[in-house]
Amino acid sequence: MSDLTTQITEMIAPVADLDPSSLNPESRFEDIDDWSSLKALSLMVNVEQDLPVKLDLRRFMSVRTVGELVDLIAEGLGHAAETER
Amino acid sequence: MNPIPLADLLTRLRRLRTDGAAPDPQLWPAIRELTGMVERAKVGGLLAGVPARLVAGDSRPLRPLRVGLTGTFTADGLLPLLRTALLAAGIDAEIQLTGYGRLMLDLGDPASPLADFAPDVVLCLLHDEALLPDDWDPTDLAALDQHLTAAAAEIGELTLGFAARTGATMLLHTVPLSALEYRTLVAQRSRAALGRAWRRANLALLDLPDRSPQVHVLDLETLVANQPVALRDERRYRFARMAWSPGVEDLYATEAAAFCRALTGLSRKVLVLDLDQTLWGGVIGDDGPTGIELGSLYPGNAYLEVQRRAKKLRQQGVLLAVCSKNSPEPVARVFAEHPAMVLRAEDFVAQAVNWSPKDGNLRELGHRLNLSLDSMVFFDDSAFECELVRQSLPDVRVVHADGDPADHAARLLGSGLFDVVQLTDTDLERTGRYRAEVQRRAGLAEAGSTRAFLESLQLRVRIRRADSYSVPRVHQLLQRTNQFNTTNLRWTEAQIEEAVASDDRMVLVFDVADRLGSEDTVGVVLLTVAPAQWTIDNFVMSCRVFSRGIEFAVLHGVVERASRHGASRLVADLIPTARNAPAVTFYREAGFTPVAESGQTYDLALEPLPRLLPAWIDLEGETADV
Repeated sequence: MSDLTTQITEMIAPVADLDPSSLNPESRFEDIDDWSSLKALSLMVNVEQDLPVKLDLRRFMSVRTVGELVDLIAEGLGHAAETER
Repeated sequence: MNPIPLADLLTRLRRLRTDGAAPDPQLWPAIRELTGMVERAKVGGLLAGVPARLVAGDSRPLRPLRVGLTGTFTADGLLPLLRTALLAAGIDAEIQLTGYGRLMLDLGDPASPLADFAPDVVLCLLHDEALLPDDWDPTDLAALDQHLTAAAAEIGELTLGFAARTGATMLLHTVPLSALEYRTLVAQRSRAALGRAWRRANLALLDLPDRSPQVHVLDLETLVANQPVALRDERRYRFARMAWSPGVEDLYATEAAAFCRALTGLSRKVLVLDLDQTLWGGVIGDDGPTGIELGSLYPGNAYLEVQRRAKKLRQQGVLLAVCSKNSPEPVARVFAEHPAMVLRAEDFVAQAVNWSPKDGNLRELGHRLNLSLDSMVFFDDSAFECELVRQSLPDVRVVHADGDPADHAARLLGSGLFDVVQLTDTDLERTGRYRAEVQRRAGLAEAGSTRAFLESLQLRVRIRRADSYSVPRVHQLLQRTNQFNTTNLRWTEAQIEEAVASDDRMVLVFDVADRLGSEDTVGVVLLTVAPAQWTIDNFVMSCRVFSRGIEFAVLHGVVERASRHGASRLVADLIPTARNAPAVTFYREAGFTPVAESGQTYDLALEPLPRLLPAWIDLEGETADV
């Protein structure tokens, strides 16, 4: 996995109450136990604290997989979308 | 510098959530030192399922506290931050957050889920739109003013009502106004009128503590103005009615936890200061007493600011001490002669100026002042000394005076470690009393024998019934005294007030005087009074007056009173804790006998009347008041 993907899965894990190793780019948020919009908001806060990015909430909330989130953040960070999967 | 990396900390916390997990007490100091908001949020997310006991270990008893949370907005983002902050403050909190926007119902309905939870403390969270009318006319600010005043008054009445009904302590806060509202008005005069109306509403909240000792107000508006964070994140507000940005949630969590720490008597009492590069710039050994940086110009004025703020802490009852690697002689010269010094030798209760390791010096200061390490804050510029003290004495809180000295004063005060709920007269005179105590101990060494020394002191003890004026001090003694505390029964001010007024209870306080000075209200005895039997519910005495037989003189006074009222037995409970070793043998030494097997209840027959008064103490007020 790319560095950014690793970094993002490490941010998702404590919010989702999972071990980072159980997540991969194909993991779907709706499959995570007890995932909720409030948890998504905490994740957004953590992402924006750790990375110089401000997310559009509409796009953030429509993200379905870890990989899509990585793409959205990469776009915000101004890189080309990471494709190494 | 956190000894445990975050990933390890999270893994170890997760381990504690499994059944039968063993305590991992290294985690607690690591959690106290977390510096980033995201770290605190992540840790707080895991803490929900972890018994606090497992994090702190059995040797560090945390204070239990039921914390109710009710707000006018969605406060879920605050929850993990608050969990971390409360645990870091030494509190084993049971937290209940009621649903979004339930504040009025929670406070107003006697059968609300919040009331059912029976909280010790209620944190009331308010946001600007909850005070503003739904749709307000930007050309009629008089109507807005009226509405705001009424809204603040309603919240105030509900808060006072809840406090009176339940006995809970309430923490409100001033409400910062969003710039969106301010900029809605285009006229400068209108903005000033809005500002006036807004401040009047906040003022109404700030007036509440004058109306009830149970109601407190945190001035969030001032705190937010000093933080480089936005008041709210509009996305979170529009999407989920979260009215505070993560930065404000973190700020509030820290301040609310400091309040709870003060409320549960965990405030620090002693500030131990380094000298070189902390109280002045430069190194006295190299630069000489005249060469240090201290005065009206930067950076000397930054060090001076630390001195000014430390002095203000002293004036409010914080004890100051010095711990410095230096030769005593040039240090004494600076304290005596340097014209710019704000702090003088008499501002300190003790000084350790020598070349020994600082951890040993702090221990020695603790012995000399009879204060435990968990009452101390250590402030030093050296990363080495700070790390040494953190490692060697985890009970001492360390504040590192690193970076630009201009920030040091704010760093010192920003810790909130000395916060108390309110000042008592005792706080104002504390330094003088501790200095006298140090003299007494020096006298003991000279007198040769303890008995000769005690005889020479001319000790007098006066016992009196507590009245309404004594309630704050009684509350403080019950909260802050850990060593001589027979049952750890800790009452709220309202409960003390009730006991003072009750016929079935008696609250006695005592003063001590000797030839070196006097100390009012150094201890309290809570009694339940029945015709045949008096019961000591708690007996608490400040560690300042240990080792003089004062407790026996007071017990003598209690025995005499009980006997005079016709009681034939005096009964007392003794509940050992990790901290109250000085009280554990007290009743046995006084001639009480244990009742049954539990070993926690003691009994003393009052016929014939036991004589407990030490020969070197005069007991006053024996017949005057009761």
